[in-house]
Amino acid sequence: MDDIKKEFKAYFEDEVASKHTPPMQMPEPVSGKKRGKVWENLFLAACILGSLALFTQPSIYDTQLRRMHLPMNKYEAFKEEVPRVLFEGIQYMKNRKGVMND
Amino acid sequence: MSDDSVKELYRKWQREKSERARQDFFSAAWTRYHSRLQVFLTPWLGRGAECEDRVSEILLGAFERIETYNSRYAFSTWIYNLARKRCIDGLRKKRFVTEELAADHGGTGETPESLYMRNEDKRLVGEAINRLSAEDRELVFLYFYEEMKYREIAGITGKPLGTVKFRMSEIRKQMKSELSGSFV
Repeated sequence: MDDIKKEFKAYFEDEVASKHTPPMQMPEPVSGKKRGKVWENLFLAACILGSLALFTQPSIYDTQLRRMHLPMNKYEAFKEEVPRVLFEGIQYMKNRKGVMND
Repeated sequence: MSDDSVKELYRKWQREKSERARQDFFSAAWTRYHSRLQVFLTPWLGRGAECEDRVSEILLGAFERIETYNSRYAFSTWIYNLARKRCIDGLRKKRFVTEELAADHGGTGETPESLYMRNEDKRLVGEAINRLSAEDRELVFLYFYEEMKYREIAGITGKPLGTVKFRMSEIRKQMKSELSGSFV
């Protein structure tokens, strides 16, 4: 059986030696990018979902705001402000992703 | 360059975090495992130039997931396991059926490796190996060439330890009877 073992090893050694190893292209360095991208993607998803909720279910948003018992002027200002903040958040994250991909 | 040396270069890279150490590690791993993986993955990839390209892709893909390697264990176990999975997943995506390939692999005629045979014994061994199924061939490669333990082989191939032992015992019997007339 030892002979078989030797012959098998010799056979595979020949086979491995006969293979050509091409020059390596060094893989990209692993940076902290991926870790950052997780929360960025979550934030972006939350912004998009928030915007969708505002556009598709305005009554829910309105009810929630009214429950906060805000003065009317603050309520109106807040109501206008939130979509703008969400929109800017999405734009910011999209720009940031674009820069990182470049 | 042994597997331990590759592992040591990995540890050095992790300690130093330098670009030089990173390059040294990847170069060593590439040099040691590219040709070995070509032979190991032969049952699934065949022997052509496509095999070489596919192994390059698989190795680079594995390097991108290097953070999943735990240097307490052998680097060879990690790389063979990952390469095997990637290779088989790639084939599944192409809708190849592994079993069909394995069956096709029971070659009957001349094979390229016969060109490298230096004597009759090696030719017989090559033929015996080519008659093995893809799954048995990878066991033989890991056991006889890489001299891995059954437990490591089970980890790489995803088979239960008992199955690996049983298959190896069967392969040994088969080889003994097939090659008994030559050099046993």
